[in-house]
Amino acid sequence: METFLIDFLSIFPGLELFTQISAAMGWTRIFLILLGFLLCYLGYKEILEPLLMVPMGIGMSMVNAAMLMMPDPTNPQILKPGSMFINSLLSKPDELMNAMQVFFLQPIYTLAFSNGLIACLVFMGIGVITELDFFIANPRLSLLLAICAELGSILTFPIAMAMGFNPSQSAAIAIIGGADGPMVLFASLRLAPEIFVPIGIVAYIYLSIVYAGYPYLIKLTVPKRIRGIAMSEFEIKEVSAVEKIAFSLIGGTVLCLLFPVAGPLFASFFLGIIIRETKISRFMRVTEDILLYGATMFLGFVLGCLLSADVFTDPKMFKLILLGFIALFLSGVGGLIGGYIAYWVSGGKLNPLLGVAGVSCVPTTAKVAHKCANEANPEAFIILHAMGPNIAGVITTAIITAVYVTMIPKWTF
Amino acid sequence: MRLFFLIMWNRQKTFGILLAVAGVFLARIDVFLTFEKKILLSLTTIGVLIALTGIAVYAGGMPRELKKAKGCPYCFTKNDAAAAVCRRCKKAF
Repeated sequence: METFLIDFLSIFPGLELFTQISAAMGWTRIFLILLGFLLCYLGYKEILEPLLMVPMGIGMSMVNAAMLMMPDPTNPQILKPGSMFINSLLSKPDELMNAMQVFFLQPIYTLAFSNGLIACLVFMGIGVITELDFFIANPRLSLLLAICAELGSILTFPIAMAMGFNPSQSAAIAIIGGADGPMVLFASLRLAPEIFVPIGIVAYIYLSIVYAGYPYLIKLTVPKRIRGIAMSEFEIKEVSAVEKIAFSLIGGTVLCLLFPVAGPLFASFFLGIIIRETKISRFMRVTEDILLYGATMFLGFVLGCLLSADVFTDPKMFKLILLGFIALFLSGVGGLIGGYIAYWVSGGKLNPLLGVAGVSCVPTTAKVAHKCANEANPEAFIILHAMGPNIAGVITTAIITAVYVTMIPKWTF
Repeated sequence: MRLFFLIMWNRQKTFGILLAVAGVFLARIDVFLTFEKKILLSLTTIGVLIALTGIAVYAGGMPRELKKAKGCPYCFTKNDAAAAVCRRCKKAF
């Protein structure tokens, strides 16, 4: 009977694998398949960010269901659990060339992920959808709130070091606190490529959870009366398109001179802004509709496919899950502290929820702040006020990322 | 060229650019001179801060026009205060 069962299972290598791996990995596989279903459902219901969670959930379920024993690319005599989707551990050119003919997502991973291209494409798209006027309307307040909301990306660095990560890895983990996906990918690829996969996955899952989790943090810390401050009509100090183009060129050039390692990110972001301001509608459509959303879809799907049971059972993963939570929690708290400072300084005219928008997950945190204010008081319409700190958050996170990427390799601890 | 001068001819913006250039020079001083590691790190940090201040000073010098704006409650796009329909999603306010 047992022989028959083993023969029967060998028809289905995905099921047969359960008899060849440890019980812990087997249960992790089942857990991840179910987690993929859950993420997909929560994305569909818009409880979590659908643009990321639907492709990520599908990738996570499918890759774990499709695991089978595969020859190790570095030593084909050894069989180990794997899939026909992707292999993120290869670096030698001949291994990569072979892998690209076997794994269907390998070309996208090798040619777009490991060199940071996907992060730059997303950043270019963010540039196109960024309205600089919101930031220019009140740059000092926006920057104050954005700097406060970087608390997580600053404090998580020493916490991660204390938990046994080296300075480069700690800096890459700390960037999760900036809540900006492309920055996290870029920083981890530059500083700690060996833990890029778990950092990327943890960061994107958490960035989506921000959508669902921050409202609870807000409700816990800000009384309903203060949440519902309506604020005055939004007055915008508009700057001409030529001025914004000149600012992008000068700002981009200075930042590239200061932080050449982060040059691709700055170039992509400011190119996006210039495309928007030049109003070349065909470029805008291509960048926003095709590059941004195409890159986001593949980003979610590839990250989901990278989360197979063997990656999840890596002991570092649990530390990363904890540190990712700490980073985003601290950034949310820092943002709210900044919001309260602005509230007190303005004599109660500013809604402290604007601080949460300083966490640079464009435009999710601004929407969360607006939604919470609107729930407390249907007259409160703070989205336009919240977009300023939100955009400032992108700039401060880019600068902190650039500082980490440029300075950390030079420092000796 | 004339347009370039029109944009740049502003005392605050010129000062901002000069400040940024000075900051970049200080941040990259290791190209010209050799320093002890700690001193070099301090100079780099100060240079970065001066350059970023220069960008902020430049941004502060940009001429602005004050306008009232209205946000679309459906797609959150910025619209003119007098607009009755959102310019992006075309829904009525």
